[in-house]
Amino acid sequence: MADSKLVGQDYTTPDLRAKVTGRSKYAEDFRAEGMLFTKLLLSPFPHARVKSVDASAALAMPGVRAILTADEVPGPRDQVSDAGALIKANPRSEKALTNEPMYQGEPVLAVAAVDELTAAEAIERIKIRWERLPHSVDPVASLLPGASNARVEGNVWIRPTAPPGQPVPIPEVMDLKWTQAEVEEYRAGRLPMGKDTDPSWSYGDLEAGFKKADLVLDETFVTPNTSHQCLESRTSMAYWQNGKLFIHLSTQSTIQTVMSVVRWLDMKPEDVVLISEYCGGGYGSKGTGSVTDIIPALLAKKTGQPVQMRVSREEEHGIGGARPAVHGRMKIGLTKDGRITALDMYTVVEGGPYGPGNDGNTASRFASLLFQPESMGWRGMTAITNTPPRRAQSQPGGMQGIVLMEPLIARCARKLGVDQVQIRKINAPSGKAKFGPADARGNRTYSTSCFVKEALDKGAALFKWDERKARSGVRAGNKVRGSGVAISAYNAGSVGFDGLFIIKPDGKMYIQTGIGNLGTESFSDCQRVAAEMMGVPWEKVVLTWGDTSRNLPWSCVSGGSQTTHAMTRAAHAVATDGIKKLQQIAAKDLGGQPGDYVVANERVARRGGGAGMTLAHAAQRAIELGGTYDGHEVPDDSSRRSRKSRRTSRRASIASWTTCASPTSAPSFIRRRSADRCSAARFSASATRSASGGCTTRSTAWRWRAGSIRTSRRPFSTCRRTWRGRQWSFRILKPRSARAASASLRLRPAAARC
Amino acid sequence: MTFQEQIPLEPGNKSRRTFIKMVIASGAAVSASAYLFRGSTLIGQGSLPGAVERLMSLNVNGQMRRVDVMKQETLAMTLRYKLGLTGTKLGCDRSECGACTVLIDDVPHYSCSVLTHTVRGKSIQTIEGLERPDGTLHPVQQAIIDEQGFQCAFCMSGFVMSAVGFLKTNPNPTREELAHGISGNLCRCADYDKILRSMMRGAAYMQKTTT
Ligand code: FES
Ligand code: FES
Repeated sequence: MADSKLVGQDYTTPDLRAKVTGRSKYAEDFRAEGMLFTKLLLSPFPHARVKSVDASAALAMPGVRAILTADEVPGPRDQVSDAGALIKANPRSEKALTNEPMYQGEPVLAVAAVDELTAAEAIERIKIRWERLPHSVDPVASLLPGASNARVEGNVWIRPTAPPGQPVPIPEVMDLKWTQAEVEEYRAGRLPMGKDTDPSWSYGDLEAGFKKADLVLDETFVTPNTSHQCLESRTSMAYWQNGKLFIHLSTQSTIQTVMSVVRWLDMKPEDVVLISEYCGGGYGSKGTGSVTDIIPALLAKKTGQPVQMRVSREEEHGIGGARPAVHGRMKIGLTKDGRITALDMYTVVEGGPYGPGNDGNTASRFASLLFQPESMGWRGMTAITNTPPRRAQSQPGGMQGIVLMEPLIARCARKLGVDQVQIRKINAPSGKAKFGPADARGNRTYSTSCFVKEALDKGAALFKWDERKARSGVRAGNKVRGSGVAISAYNAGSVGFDGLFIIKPDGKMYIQTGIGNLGTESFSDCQRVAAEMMGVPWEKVVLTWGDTSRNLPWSCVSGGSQTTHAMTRAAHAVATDGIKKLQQIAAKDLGGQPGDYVVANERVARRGGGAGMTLAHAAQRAIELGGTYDGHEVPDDSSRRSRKSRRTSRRASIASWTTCASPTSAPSFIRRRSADRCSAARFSASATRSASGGCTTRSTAWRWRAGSIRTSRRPFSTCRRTWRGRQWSFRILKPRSARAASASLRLRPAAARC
Repeated sequence: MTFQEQIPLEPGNKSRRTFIKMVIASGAAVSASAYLFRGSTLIGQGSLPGAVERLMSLNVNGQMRRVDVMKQETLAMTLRYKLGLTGTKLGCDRSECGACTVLIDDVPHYSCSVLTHTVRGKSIQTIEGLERPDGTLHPVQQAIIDEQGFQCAFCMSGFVMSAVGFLKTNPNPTREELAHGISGNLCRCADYDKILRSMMRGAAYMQKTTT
């Protein structure tokens, strides 16, 4: 594989031409015969209860077909995951429609009419009697004694820990208020650290760490809420045929979104066909679709007609959710030379109304990774607020961790007189740096490939840090410009997903994938590995994605920066399986041992030349042989979802599919690649190791202007660039592009905000 | 059964005064109508304001298209819903994002904020009209493919139309000029660096083909 033909090479992804010519179809671009349109009635209050609905005037309007209320939306049911684990439904989780809206702009009911204007007019004619309820939009204010709560039951989530082997219990709500002393502390500008409801963690001896320290700082910082604002709002369209639901929606993942839809509608996966070939941005907020996606499905069932729901930009502000703000207080101890000896971190997350997130905990784990404190503790809680639902957003938690920590580190450096780059180098992780708490067996998670120190050196040289430092903070006219430095990381990786491809007697390789397409191109990039291993040129690869009626295998959620990692491994595993089958077929027909044969250049042939056959011929033979060769027999470890795909492969031939279930099932190829100088190898190498539960330092991005922090806002494209042969573990914004970035930011400040 | 058959028809022939009263009564809906899709299924009922459509001819991508258009209908709606040209996207429907940009007589416009009846007699070009019938892409499109520009590409058609329009007025821009020229478009994936690189390459391709 030393001279790879596909991996690490530039190529045109199969979706690009459709995109540039306007032929790519996003959810809103589909039409169906007799399609109705939906508009939503949104709550005008941050917290209220619907006492009664009078829809008679609306229903009497010509063109109005149906009204859907919260009572008609099936509640979320308990589910069994693909791996067989029980997922308990949280009765307090977000629903498509609600009778107790918890934020302003939450959908209360929906109208289907022959066109949107009619539906909107019908909404205007619906009379609702509301009972207004107390509300709270500030996580910290709700902790003041006597302040109102966001939920009737309370203002803070508690998360009971699960006994070993038991499913995670459903989070509960409690009413929690500060004492008078804590209020005083808060008024003095420090977040009181006394109360925590999340399972806390710590390592090392904090007390000793602080004792050892020459400098102790105690600071409170707050990160902002940021709305996702995907350019494509979460539109969906649905219709029913013969008891099957066909749903077009905007989602980051394909096959995994089926499971969400099934859970929200209480259906069987077999009865859902989900189409999403293109997604106009998700940034974490459309991980496996959005719960409101099912509204057209329910209305389509009710009316017997296809229904489309276009979500307007205004509606998207609420429904689309936001990254949660994290209020953090950090007590940090350092020695004279800048080494962090202790970090006591406490966070309050603005959680929105539905369910506790992990952003506070994750933030602290990244503080632990990036700054490697000798001892560290974290405590925290998620406060409930009547604000739009909080969702994952690019580098969820990690980003907030950086925003909390970097100004603090900068302040420490100034106090100690240590250089800003230097203090980060002193504390940077390297090699298999451990971070976060120990697990039940006493093992701490570890990083697998850290080059932060090297990145800092390289960046400092590229940006002429010493020169810039001298100019930092100097007044020029009415402006003061500062320079700063920040580091960033995120973890990625998951295992247990299937690859699937078929080689047919026409000599082509048909690859199926359940990966979503939100523009990161991982749905296609990962498959290059399988094609490379099978010796098939890319022109002979037919890739199917984005339509679950076409039997897609079980793929990972396209989120959390994991897809390229997880699904490259699945592609590797499935190609390994394919090679094995080809070798066996060749040995059966041409004699010798399977090991005597190699697969390359569209042939399976004897090592070192000699007898062989084309893949097209081998495919024909596979059909005759049947059994495992043509996909009639499925490996036991493949997922329930993928088994369905057997139907595709029946008429096919060499059908290979395999679950990449364990971290060790795919390493040989990847390891060999890692010895290569190609950067794809670097990616793969770190990916392999991160599968053992570790964390890869994904990128170190720098932003040198105005002391602001630039973190990798586009984690996915980092993967893609890697794939196309660029550096990534040291990804640094070159001065030229940094200038360009700031130029465009200047031009479009709104872009920088979203 | 057609919709007309399903819908109970109300007595037509409303007086002008009743019509105006109705418009006032449903003021919010009428003012919102610019960005709501109104189908042609209620023609002739006269029961709802804004349902009146007029047949007009539109010159889209070099073809004359006959289409029924309401007074308050936006060009984006006509293109997407009546002419099936869904390459033009709606990101905000309120002149903020530029996803809906099309060329009207070679000048980029936000089609979400242009009323269709105002473009009578003008020539409209959308993303679908850039590719030549023989499949040759416009240089800007080709440049995007060569640079693998854009991420989710929801903003792409707007950017392409803006750039194509801008390059007609300034065929040889600097990167800064180009950035300014397409500054009316937003990319939420924040792919600006690659977008500018693609567009600069597109400009270079165009220079090559013209000289
Ligand atoms: S949709 Fe027209 S500017 Fe955003
Ligand atoms: S590429 Fe996604 S909005 Fe521009």
